[in-house]
Amino acid sequence: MSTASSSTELTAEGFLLQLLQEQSDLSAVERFSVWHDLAPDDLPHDAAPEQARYYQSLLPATLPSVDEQYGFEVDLDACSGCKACVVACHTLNGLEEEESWRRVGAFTVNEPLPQLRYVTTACHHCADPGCLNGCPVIAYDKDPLTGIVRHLDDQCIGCKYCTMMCPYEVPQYSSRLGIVRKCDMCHQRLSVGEAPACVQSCPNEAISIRNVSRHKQYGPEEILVPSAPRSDLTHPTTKYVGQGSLSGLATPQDSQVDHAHESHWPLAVMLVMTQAAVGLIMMERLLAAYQSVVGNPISPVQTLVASALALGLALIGLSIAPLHLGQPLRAWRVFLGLRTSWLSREAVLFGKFVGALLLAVLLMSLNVAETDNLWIRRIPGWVDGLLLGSALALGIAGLFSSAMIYVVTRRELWRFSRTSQRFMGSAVVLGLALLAAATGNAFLAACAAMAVTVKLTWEWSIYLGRQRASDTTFQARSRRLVHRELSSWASWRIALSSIGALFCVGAIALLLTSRHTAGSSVMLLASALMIGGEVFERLLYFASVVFDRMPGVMK
Amino acid sequence: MTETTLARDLPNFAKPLLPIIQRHTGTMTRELLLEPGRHGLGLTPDSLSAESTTTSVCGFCATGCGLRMHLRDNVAVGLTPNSNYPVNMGMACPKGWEALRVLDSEDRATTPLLRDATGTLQPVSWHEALNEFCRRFKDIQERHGKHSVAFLSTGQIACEEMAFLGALAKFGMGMLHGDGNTRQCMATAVTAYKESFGFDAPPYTYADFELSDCLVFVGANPCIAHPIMWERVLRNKRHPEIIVLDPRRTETAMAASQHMQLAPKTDLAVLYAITHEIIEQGLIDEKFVSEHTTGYEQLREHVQQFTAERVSSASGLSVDAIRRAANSIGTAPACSLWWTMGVNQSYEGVRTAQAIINIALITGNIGRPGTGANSITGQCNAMGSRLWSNTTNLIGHHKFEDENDRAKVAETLGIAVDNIPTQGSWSYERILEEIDTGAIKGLWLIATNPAHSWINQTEAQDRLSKLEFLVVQDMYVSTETAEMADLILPAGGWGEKEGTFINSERRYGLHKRVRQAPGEALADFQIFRAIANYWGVAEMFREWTSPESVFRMMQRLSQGQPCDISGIAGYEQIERNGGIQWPWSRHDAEQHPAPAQERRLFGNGSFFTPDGRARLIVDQVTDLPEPPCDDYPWMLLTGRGTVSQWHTQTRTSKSPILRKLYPRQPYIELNLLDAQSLGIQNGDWVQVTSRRGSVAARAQVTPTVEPRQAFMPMHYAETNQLTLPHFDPHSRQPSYKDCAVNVVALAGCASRR
Repeated sequence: MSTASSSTELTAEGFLLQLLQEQSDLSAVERFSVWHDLAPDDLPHDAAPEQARYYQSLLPATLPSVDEQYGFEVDLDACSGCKACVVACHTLNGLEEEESWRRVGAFTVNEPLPQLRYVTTACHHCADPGCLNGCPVIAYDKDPLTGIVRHLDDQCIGCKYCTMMCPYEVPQYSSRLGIVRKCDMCHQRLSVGEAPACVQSCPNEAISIRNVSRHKQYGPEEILVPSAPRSDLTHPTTKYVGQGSLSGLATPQDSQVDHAHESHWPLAVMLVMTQAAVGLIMMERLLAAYQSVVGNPISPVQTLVASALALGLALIGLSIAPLHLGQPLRAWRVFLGLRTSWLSREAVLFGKFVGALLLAVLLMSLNVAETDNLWIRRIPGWVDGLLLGSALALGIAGLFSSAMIYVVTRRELWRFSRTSQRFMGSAVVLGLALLAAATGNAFLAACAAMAVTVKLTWEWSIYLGRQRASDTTFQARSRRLVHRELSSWASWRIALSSIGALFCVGAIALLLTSRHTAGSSVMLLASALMIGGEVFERLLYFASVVFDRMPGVMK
Repeated sequence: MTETTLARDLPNFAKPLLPIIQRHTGTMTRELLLEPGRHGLGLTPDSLSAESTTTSVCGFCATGCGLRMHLRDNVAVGLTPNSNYPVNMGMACPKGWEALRVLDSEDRATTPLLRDATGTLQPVSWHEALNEFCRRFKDIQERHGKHSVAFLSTGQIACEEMAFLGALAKFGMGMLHGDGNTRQCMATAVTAYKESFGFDAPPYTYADFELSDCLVFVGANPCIAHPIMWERVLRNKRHPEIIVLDPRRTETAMAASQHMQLAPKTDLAVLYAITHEIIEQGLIDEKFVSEHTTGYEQLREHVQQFTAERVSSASGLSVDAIRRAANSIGTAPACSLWWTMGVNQSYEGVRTAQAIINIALITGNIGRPGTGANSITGQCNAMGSRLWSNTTNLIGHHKFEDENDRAKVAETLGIAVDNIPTQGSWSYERILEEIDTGAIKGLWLIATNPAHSWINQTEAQDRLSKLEFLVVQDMYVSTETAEMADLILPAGGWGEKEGTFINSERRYGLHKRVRQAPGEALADFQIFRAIANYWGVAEMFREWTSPESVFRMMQRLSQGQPCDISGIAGYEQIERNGGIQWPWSRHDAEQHPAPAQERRLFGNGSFFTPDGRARLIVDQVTDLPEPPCDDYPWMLLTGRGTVSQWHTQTRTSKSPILRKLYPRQPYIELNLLDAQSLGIQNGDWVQVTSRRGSVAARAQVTPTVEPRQAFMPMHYAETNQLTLPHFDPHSRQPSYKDCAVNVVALAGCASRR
């Protein structure tokens, strides 16, 4: 009996091996694909794809004329929200695991009949593309013939500025590649008469390519679909047709559902540091001017200390900034976008600001060191003042460019008044505090404490504090983000600056009792705390921004 | 390539610098370069480029789309929808596009796992696993009788595998009870068809979507659940009237010309009222009724009480809406009526389905293009389960109780007739209930996940945990049910094995092995062969060596049945023909060179009942078992959430791109007015409580559900903690879509998780 059973087991184990072997053998496919192999491999390479018969009518019959370009046309009545276009775009373009250049959102309409409408959206290949205008290295190109806005992947430095400039959140950053990528309307397919992935995969034929006018201009009230950003920002060429596109009283499915945006921490640090540097020079020049008017010229050493401190801060800021780039080695091309991009202008201006400041500091140190070098002594005395003045002018222009970078995104919460006040506010607060530390001036310390208090109070009213009746929708949504997801940053923002202000008071007490070294040291500490506070302010600036978006879905 | 703007603007002397200044190519650009795909494909990225292609049919839903596998070294590297398949014409839903992706997952079962003395699942060899499988089940059978071990199967494996499983379990291992998860989706349609038509016979072909002048969808949302069927509706050039009966304003309802937004579970009364109106308006096809049906008089008498006026108040529909629908149906040259889970998953689903069938019959809307009373199937092979699983019906849709049928099966399979039970199985819910009584001690689950999907999940889990031995055969180790198993048998998935599925329109389609199964995972078919061997019944299954050999046996078994497929030449013909709909008998094959691609049943008005006439069946309307009350004022509806999710998300959650397309966390759709009264905003968290459980979900505020109704998708495990276990008395299908719940706001809810 036992022999019999063990021999069964042996057979059984042998049988198992056979099953496992059969499982790993894929030659069966060949058996099945005999019929299939006969024809398709022998097809001429230029034969039209099998799917072509279903999508021919969804493509324009002719190339665009000079006044025309390609544009997507989406029939909202036909779109049933299946999202095949999203996955087909992902698959047929060989994109990354989670990457697709199409998205599908939804909105509901209450009246007259309840409705749920889906909106498939991709790049709108705008007539006036925000991405292209903002790009500091001209990594975008609008094809003169087709109007397709292409991204040049090997040119991109990964600064992500286009992700802010595009109101439709089209360019998406890839951390694997360190660049953004976006929809190119499958220009390779179109160039050989094939339909883009989304067009050929929509079961309902809801997406097509049409020749549209290159000169379509939108009015300020016009939007593509309910809740979408204003169309006059970039003049998108996608056309949404069907009844659903007409309704105004629609609620996106993700309405009230906001998530914190990327904090862009290297940018936050860079901005605060450069603003501190510019602010410090600015305050120093003001103090110098005032003191020379009252007949008590500022000591060159104090100017040198302040300038050197500013130089140090600017260098820290500018050396951290590249951490924000996915492809820093390509960043030397940053001047290319000067004609349209505030980011190019900022980069170039701050570069020159640091250069001028460096020269000024060098010259001043030589002067202070009372060198015997004849060449140096031949340099007229007003040159260092000129250099410092130029640095200040360049710095202010750079600071203005910094603000404009965000202002031109046309996000309401980043509008000029808001952004410039926040950026300039940081410059003033930190400039005063740092100058107080550099000069041991109690009055300046008091000003710094006052300035930071004013700024905090103002920020409390616009985003840190409780919701107010006067809040716009954006403000209310942003506040909710600050209070919920970002509450710890908000606490840090308030705490660091408040403690900094208290330290200012301590420093004033020390300075007024002539304990200068201790006073300056405490003031330096106060400045550091306040820099920290401003960095958190800036992180919140980026992370808590909300704006009109294409309708989304609950995630 | 055309010149770029920068190139144009650059002064001539600087032009040579252009390639340095602006890089148009490089590794990153090349990454997205497309090449001619050949094989009838268009431009193709490297990831999809194929040395050769072959075809397959999708393994998610019963639409049964054709997919084109892109092969390199005989391994599928990707897929695109098959342009030449008559079902989908080169289209697929997101699940189909990602069908291969879900095979690659950390959660795949790669080796058998056995629970050790400490309660941990430990990897063991197949030899040990199968010895244990046999030892434990045989031990239970010795102590508690052969019938104390049962199996629960699925609509997700091939016909050949279902046939093997059913034959092995019942004829080989001596089990009596086995059922499938198709009990959760199609049992109602099966019962309704069997009673009305004499056979489980969905009569339609997908071309009917395109040929109807009036389409009626009852409890069906094809836009989301069957998007490729909806594609076919949109290809209808006849400007059809589309009538949708659904308590929710679904995507399909939105696209309808008449949305009858009826109160939940008033569908039967409304259908009777429509029937009554059709009769009142004189729109019946008297010739068809008198020649091809029985029961018309009882029907007419029964529906008299369902006047439009009376039903209007109960259903919330206007009298006009009911009359208008009746008129549209009765006057359309070709009207088709379609239903799916809204009807099937109901405590009076069989009668509701039959009310639909009645309407088709009395208006003569059957057997002609664009007509039919048409059940849309759920799972890819639910119909395979119905015909071949050997559970409720003797294999091949025969009767266990019928001596001749048993003899035929015994002879065809070459087994002793004594091995065939003389009665059918207990239904799914009875098998689970009998765990409580101790009648069921061992259970073998194949490719299904009841610890998530069964109605009143907590009770189901409780019962599964009482088993002496629970075997789960699955692709993944991470399903809620696999985590409870004593033994996990690692199965190959769709794409790692071959066989046939039968889609909604009775079409046999072939799916193929184009991927290596991970580790030691084996195709279910191979697992059954191995078990036959270890159980000691190898002799009985000596002919069951490959899916195609089993297919040939199925063909022999089908002879003389309405689902006769004896005329199919083999797998190769199924593939070449773009699938083959049953019936295709040897006789048909002799008459025609090849099966037409779109065929429907009952063209001759002859049904499968003994007298050839269809039955008109009516019944009393019953009340909701758990109506909303003061403590539980909401009616909870359930169903499919998005196209990208499949059932318990076992597979769809393994695709990153699919996961991006649906909400990660459980959500509940609530009306705006309810949200206001709860003081919540879109996206806030709420607590949903029924008499059986309490779960947290995010509120999705929408006008598409009525006030005091709520909708939760079935894909999240939370939903079935709430549902009320009650069943259709005829089909024993669970009624998932009607239980009372309470909803309260969760404080500090938005920051949860």
